[in-house]
Amino acid sequence: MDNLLIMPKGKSIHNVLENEILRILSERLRSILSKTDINWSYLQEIRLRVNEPFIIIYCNKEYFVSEDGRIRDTRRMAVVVTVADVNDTLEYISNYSLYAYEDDIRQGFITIQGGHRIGLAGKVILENDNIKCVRHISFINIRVSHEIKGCSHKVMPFISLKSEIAHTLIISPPRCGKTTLLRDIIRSLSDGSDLLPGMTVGVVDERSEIGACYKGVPQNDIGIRTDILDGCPKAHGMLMLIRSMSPQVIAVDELGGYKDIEAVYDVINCGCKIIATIHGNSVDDIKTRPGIRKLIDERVFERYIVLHGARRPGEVQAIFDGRGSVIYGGDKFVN
Amino acid sequence: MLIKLIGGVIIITASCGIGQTIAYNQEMLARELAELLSMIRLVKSELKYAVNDLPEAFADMAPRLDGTIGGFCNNMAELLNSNHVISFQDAWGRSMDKLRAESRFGSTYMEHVSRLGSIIGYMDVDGQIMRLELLEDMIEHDYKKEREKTKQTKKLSGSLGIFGGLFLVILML
Repeated sequence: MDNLLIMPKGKSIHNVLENEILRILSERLRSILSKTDINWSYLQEIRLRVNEPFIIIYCNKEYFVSEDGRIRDTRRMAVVVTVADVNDTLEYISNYSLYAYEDDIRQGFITIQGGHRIGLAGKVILENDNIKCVRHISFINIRVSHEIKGCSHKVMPFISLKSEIAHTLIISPPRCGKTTLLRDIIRSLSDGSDLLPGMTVGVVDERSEIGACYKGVPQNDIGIRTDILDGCPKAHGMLMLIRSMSPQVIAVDELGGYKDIEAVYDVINCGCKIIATIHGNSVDDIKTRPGIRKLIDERVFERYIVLHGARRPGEVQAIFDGRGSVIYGGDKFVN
Repeated sequence: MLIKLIGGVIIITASCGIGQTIAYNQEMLARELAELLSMIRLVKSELKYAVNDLPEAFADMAPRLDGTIGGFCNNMAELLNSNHVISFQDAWGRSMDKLRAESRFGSTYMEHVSRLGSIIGYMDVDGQIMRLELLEDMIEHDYKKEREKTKQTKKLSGSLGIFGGLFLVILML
């Protein structure tokens, strides 16, 4: 069977991405990176660490960037990131206004225009056991968001049940495209397609990655019938949406804590469908987490989409139904 | 005699004009300080309540402030909105150069403006507010001093202009 790729080759998002990413880098790094001959659609991360080499993650592989703009496997000749590079980048990321992102920085990341997530690390200042702020930020991880319209097209038939959508869980290691896939499923459900009529979708976008809201307005296309609760904790948000926006489908990214699991039960008890993502390598892997195990054992989810970790981003490894039977690729998981 | 009379009137008018100019400059300095104070208060409210990005905050503040300080904010908004080709401190420095050329601020008051630039834009809003309040107190103190000086200067330069002119006319007669 051919590999099911949710990220089509040759999708032209090059210029938008290039502009969005380059404008947040310091002038020196901007000039070096603009010399590289990379396809921006496959750029996944840019890592800046003070006094360490300038690294990019490109096509699932780590590369060092040299002064002449070449990307190399070895750190020899790699550009060394300076304090000024990190400080300037931080200034541009926050649009000269770190104070406006204080709450985000306390959580360790900022989401910028375009939905790109910027992870930050440095000296943490505590006050009464709570994080007050992060100073001397010396480590920046720019995770490039990829909005690929139509990438869910091949997956949709597997998660559609007659005239409605199945409760679906997308399982994937980091950097494999689960948020990209979730975003396009949301868009597809909201706009409607040949398979399903348009549905009202409520999105709890805790980390502003799905809609990439900038001043409340989604920067990504998430469909005409989608309502977003931006920056809201998932457990609270799911209940708020049920009460206020009467969605037919609720979508959340990165399920985790017990409260999230409880909220999933509330969602399905209200008759809504849920589409969620979770970090993991396989269904067996996520079953080791007690809360999630309960969801699997009780067959809450009707579909599991597992993305491939080892190959290129966006490759579907397998799709299972609620009983663990294989619908596409992979081996049956024990249930 | 007529020429002497005309000459005397011109001297008195000129000396009065000089006196008025000195008083006007002093008054404008006090006004500019008042505008700087207003700017600090607006920055504080931006930090505390609006939580807008600085480029947007400066663009909002510019029409609400008069004269050279309004121009300073406008200049900052333009530079910071120029697609990230300049650091905040460089933008502040350039705007300060323009302000120095256009305003009546001497080095002491330009130092206040420079200090303001070193306070804002960072994390820890409470810390920034405290430092802004300290700066506000210092400028308020200077403003009161300059306002008092304006009243005195107005009287003094008005009287000195007239009497100085008369004195010169008498000497020349």
